Amino acid sequence: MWPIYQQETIAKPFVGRIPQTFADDMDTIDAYLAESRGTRDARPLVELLVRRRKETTAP
Amino acid sequence: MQQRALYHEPARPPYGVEDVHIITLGQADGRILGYVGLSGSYDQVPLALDAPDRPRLTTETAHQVDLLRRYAGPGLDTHRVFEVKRFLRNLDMERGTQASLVPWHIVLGFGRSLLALGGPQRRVLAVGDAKEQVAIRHLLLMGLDLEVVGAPRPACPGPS
Repeated sequence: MWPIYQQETIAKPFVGRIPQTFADDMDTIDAYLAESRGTRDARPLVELLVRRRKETTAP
Repeated sequence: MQQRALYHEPARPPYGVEDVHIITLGQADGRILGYVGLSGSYDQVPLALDAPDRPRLTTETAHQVDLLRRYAGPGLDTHRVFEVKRFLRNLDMERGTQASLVPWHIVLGFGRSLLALGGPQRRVLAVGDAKEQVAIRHLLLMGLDLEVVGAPRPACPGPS
């Protein structure tokens, strides 16, 4: 068996749909990558997306 | 060929839906830094997602689960389903700023591709399997409406 299959953590199957907010999220990621031009790491982007996910999943 | 560890995907039949390959290249040397593939259906004609004769996706076969039946309905068929393959970053990259950004370049190409494939009605499904703390975390953060089978609905993870 190839080594890539010899892993302790088992992958889980998923199905993803595109919500209404998806295009805005892509614009946000696009803008961050363009602005950072490789000089800032991904942490601020991740923090921004975490906040956005909490907003969009809030009851 | 086997000794040189050269492999290739099986040749696709001349029908169905074409695959999409998203690649991030290094500006300086053109090396491949990241990759994800969207594998399209081999069905000659689009089938309903609950069709009894629908060929199972690789992920469904591997996990012995029907992932698509619950999404059956108008506007979605097997030509609207893409399997996500090999969400990878070049592990030879040094840890740091560039390495942290590569997955997000891949995510951006992946997301833009889904928007184009789904059209104005966003009629497209991305299906696959992934580790919860790695690729699934990216899929969740990028904003996909995600159902993870065999696990509770994922909560929003904090940055690590």
